[in-house]
Amino acid sequence: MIKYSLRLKYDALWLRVILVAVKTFFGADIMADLSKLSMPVATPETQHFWEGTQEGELRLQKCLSCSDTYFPPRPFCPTCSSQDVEVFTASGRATLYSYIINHRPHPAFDGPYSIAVVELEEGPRMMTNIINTPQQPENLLLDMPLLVVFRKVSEAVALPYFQPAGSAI
Amino acid sequence: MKRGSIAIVGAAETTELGRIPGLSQLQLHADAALNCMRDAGISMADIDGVACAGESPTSVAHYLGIQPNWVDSTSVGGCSFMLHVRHAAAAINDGLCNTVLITHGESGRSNVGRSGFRGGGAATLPGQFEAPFGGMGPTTSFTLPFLRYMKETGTTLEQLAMVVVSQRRWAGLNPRATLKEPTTVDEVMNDRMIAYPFTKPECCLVTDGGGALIVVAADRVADFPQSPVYLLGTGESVETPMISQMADFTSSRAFKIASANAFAEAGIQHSEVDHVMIYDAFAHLPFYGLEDMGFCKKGEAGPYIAEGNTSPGGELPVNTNGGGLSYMHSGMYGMYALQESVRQIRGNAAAQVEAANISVCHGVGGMFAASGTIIMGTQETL
Repeated sequence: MIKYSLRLKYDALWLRVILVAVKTFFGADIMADLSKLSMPVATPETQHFWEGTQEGELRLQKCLSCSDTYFPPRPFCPTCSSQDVEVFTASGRATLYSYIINHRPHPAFDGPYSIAVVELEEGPRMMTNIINTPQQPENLLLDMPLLVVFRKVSEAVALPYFQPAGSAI
Repeated sequence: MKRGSIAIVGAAETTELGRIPGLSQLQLHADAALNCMRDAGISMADIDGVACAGESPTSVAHYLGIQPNWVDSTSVGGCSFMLHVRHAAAAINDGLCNTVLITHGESGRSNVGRSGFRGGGAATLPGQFEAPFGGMGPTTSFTLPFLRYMKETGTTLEQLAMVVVSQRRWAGLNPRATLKEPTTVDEVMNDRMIAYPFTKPECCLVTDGGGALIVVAADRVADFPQSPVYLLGTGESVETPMISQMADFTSSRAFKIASANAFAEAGIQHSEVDHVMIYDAFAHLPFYGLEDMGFCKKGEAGPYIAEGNTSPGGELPVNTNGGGLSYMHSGMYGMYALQESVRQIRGNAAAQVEAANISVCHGVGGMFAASGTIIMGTQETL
């Protein structure tokens, strides 16, 4: 029994070492407790977006009248008011437009974490977190290329996050 | 509004500012209103218009015993009071009411009986597309555009810290300011990180307080004891409730429209302005304010402030009460910026600017979501 618990402790130590290594080289998981996230609730106008993230797609809308691509979702074009709009799947490629690193404790997050605005290849900007990279200014350079990555945060919701393009994870 | 057709004849803050656990939020409105009424030498029975934010005009009017002909509950954040002044001017000029009381009271620190300005639920657009990413309110949203601003303009973190240093110099001259001790760029930059790149002194205070104004037609100023403060120009606009959707992270569309309309109405040049208030919830706001209003070209506000031009003795005194960073900030600070502009034009500010004849008072609401600009002047400017 004693041997067994020591073995567990030994394993736990190695796990910790591996975690620190991952955190150092790849950036740790910034999430601590997903249940403490403020979960989005879809409306009829945004349903397609949240269904898309569940299916691993970043869905934007495009006006068929003036060709404007826009976000957040609405059933008409914010540029020309046309209701002739379509939903399409974006490439998921983006660049880092701006960000902050929040140092105040948030129950859903582990340590300082980035809150960013990314500029999608198709034009619109959106808020997100930059994940799978250390949450430090040296690793978060404006205009760096990013890729979308979806993560299931509850039974009903998957959120669109972004990570450095070419990231190992 | 016709230039000079409306005047502010009453202005007062709550008796205390800072930590006021003994007063509810509604009583902070009332304390400011009573002080303001005394300042204007009138009674509640003389007031026939009520505008406020944070509380509803129904609550405030009933609590004060006013039966109004006109109310305005415009609530677009901390600049709501600039919009109230503008709307009151239109209402008075249109004959809807004669004597408008505008109140603000906020138990921002003590949280006694607080209601009002809050974010929306999980199904609103900000609730769906911003809140899930861990925003903590103004500290993480208002600050978000600034790294982009820095990259586009070459502005430095030292220049950001200099905004705090500069305004603390003004606060040192003001006995009612919360933070009066001088500070340095090093001190500011090495303070506790709140939301990189913003440290604690670069974020506004969190205090309790209130303020009130009384607005009438300019042809009535002789009936009131204080030297009149005339409205020369007014402007307002809104942009987006989501910081991520702000069109240009280096410039506020709402700032530009509100201030351009105010300057056009006032018919003045920037060189004629003696005093400026720019709502500073965070230290980068004066950069956006100075540039979007046209006092500085894009990217020049950082060096302009760092060189001391907005400090005591500088050519363009800005945030002379110490600002939201050093004076006080209850949550909707716009009322205190208006109060300081009134004091400067009356000539009785704690840190009085010499020959202050024209004051530009510029407010922000939400996180670059809304804006209001009020330009005030002395009798001489009419």
